[in-house]
Amino acid sequence: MMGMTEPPRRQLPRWASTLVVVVVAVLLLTPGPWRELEKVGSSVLSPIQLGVSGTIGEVSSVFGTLQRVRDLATQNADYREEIDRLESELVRLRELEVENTDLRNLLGLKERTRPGTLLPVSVIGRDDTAYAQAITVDRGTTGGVVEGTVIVTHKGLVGRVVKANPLSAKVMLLNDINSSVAIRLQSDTRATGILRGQSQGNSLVVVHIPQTDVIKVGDVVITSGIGEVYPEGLVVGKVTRVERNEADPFQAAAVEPAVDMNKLERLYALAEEK
Amino acid sequence: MTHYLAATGLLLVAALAQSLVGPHLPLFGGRPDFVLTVVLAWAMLRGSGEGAVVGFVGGLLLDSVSYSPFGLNGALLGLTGYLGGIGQTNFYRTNLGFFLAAASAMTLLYHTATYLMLQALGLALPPVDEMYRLVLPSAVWNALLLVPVSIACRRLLRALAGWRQLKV
Repeated sequence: MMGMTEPPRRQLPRWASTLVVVVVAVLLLTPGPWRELEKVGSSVLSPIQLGVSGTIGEVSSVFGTLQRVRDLATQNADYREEIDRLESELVRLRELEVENTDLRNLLGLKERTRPGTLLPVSVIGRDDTAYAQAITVDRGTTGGVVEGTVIVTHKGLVGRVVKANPLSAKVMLLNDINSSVAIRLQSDTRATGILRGQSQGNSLVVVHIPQTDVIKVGDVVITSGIGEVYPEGLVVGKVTRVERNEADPFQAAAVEPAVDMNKLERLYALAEEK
Repeated sequence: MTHYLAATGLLLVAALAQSLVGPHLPLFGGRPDFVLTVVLAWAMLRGSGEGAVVGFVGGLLLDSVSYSPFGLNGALLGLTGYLGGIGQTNFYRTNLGFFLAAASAMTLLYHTATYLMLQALGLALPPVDEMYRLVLPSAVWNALLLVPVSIACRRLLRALAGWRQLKV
């Protein structure tokens, strides 16, 4: 009905509720059977605590992992840089090792050849046809390279200069069909012969070896110095096959050159000392 | 005169390419003859007279960078240029098969003449069959190269003559 209101509720005064709380706290602090309440509370809350702390721990570890991943990524990048640097260094050291071996061989080569200067030359052109096997090098008469200058690498003989211009020179390679080198086999018989090129390809052949001389596969072929066109003792190659015909006075042998004519690098001209 | 200067520039590039790049492009042992291709293309476009001059110049440039006796290629390429320009330009343009066959034939002719000349000069040579075993792939190379080289030469000549492509 209109105008009717609920009767006011009776409330504890503020001081009374405070008093109740203080009394209960003091009671709980003192020993007694109400201490069992603590155990009940702990039993109820502990699993919850465990679950929550575990979740918090997991979340913390995720953040920690992310941080670790970032640190590891940085560390990884540093290690990769170091690896790259060391790999470059390794390549450089390997090249130095190869160059060291080359120079040692060249020193040995210089001791075997007549006195002269080893002038480094580079290939600037190539003639690779059915009629000619030749290269053009970047040094000519102004650089000490003249007609007849022998071209070598640390592995052995490459060819001879047939045309020298002021700034460049044309070199007839060993495997040119017109190439002719007086050689000797580094064997017990010390057989001599003439080394000829075979047009295209890397193969050479030694002809005019007397039948009485014994040739074996693997015999090292060196220049004999006969004719004074090539210095004595330059390595030419190795015997790979022997061709004998009893009816002929001479035998022949196929030779694999010591220098791969298709991969010419680090060439030197044996210039005469002035 | 401008034509010859342009041709000389083109031949210089071809001679250097033949010396530096050619040896690294083997096709069953055969190598491309860049200078011969340029000479043939020019001769087919401009006729025998210019073909002979351009061939001579190209041959001398090739002799300068290669191992062959100086003047040999000058003579042979001059002759090849003359013979290559005998056919009518329009005939070559309308008959691709003949165009390519002419390139191959001129390559064989050029190398045969080279072989004979070198033999006459007293140089040692490989057997004839070995020579043709290497020259036949070269003939294929040259025939393939002749088309783009001809197009390049034609555009160069038109540029020198002041031609402009009409846009329709």
